[in-house]
Amino acid sequence: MNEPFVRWDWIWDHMDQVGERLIEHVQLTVIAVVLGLLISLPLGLIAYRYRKSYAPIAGVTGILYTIPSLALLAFLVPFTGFSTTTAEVALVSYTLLILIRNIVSGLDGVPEDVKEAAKGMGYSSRQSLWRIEIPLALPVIAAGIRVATVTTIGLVTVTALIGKGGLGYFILLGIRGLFPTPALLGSVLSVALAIAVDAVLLGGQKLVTPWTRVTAARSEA
Amino acid sequence: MISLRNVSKTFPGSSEPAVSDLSLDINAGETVVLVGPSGCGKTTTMKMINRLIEPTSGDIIVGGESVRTKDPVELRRGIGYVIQSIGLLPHRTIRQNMTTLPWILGWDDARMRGRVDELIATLDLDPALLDRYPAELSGGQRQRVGVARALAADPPVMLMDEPFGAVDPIVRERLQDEFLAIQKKLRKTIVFVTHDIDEALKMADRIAILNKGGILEQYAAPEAILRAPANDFVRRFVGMDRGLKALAIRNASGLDEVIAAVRGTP
Repeated sequence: MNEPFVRWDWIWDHMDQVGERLIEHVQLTVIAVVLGLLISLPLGLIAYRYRKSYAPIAGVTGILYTIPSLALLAFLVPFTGFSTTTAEVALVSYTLLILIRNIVSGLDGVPEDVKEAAKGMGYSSRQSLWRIEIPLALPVIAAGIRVATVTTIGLVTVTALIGKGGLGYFILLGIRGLFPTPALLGSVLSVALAIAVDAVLLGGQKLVTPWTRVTAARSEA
Repeated sequence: MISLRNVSKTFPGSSEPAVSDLSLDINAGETVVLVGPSGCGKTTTMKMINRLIEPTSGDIIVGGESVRTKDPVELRRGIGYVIQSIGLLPHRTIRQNMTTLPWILGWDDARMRGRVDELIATLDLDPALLDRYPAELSGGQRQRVGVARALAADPPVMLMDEPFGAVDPIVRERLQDEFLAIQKKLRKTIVFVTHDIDEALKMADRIAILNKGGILEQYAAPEAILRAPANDFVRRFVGMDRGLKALAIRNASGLDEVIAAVRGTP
């Protein structure tokens, strides 16, 4: 049997499925990162405000992060079945450590003199948090979102094992069908998606943090 | 205008007080400079006025009211505040930085624009800077913006903690001169902290010389301190060249005093 390495005809025949799986991949990723953020933001703020809570929060999310994704899915299936819920619980739990760490270190990086001046001018602590500390932490938080998103895009493929998986479906198909084209297709598209989304997020971050683009003036008053 | 009554502050975990039993009256429209070596409690004293630090005992009256009866956030909005590192908001343009407090106070756009125009005229700032971010400005420009921001809501009282400390001596001197000219017109009640006795002599209507532990050694006009230091600590702190300093200060009120000061020099 003389099989070509890439069977373009197979890809051509499955274009509609490629579109479907790509959309599923993006959906699984977006839901995971958004839910991850919704959980991480309050936990990160608690860890920032009440320092003693940071070690336990980082500890628990750190343990979640170390659980192999295959094992976590296997563990969850008896409870939530072969469902999107199972996939999302796993995906969300891997975003938490990255997001919370970046939220806390972003907030920690806000210059002390800026906070002091704001307080001295009459900012309440809530105004200071929402108008100064969080905006100034945004570049670091955004970096966390980018890492979490790219990681999630890779992890989504693993959820193919429970019947989800987005582009991971093709990878699994390739493994089962014993010809490389679907696996290659799934992998290449997954990587391309990760790179593209990362670029979009970086662009978005620069758009909302225009002050990070300025260059310091050299002239003296 | 501002009255410190037997104010003491001991920080938790410290056996020595940072400020001990300090009483000080500051008149409306007067610039009082708190000066002393590091550890003399001058910044602590200043920060107790706007309740960034709470006194352990004693009371502080601002504009006839004890600061303890006021909400700290409300109190601070009525007091201009300038610190050495300035602390401009890096993510806001210069215009937005200047209108930080007016914006919180809910001024409308037209009023804020008008105020910014006044401030850049007062502080001799280039209007082209208004749309830039703080990182794009020089140190001297940032200091001016910091003062403009503190003046924005026209507070009767200003607290200034080494406001010109972070710039080189030439720029510092220019900023000092400009500020004296502005203060001559505005007549704010100013509490000014510095470790530099020359700056104190230049800027002050009255100087409060503090010693370690926040002990007030002398509280008098610059000429009086040069002419008649209260004790050895003040004499040493003012320095050996106080005769020359007396000649240099801006408001040497008469030749006799200057001559007296020079004769008094060892």
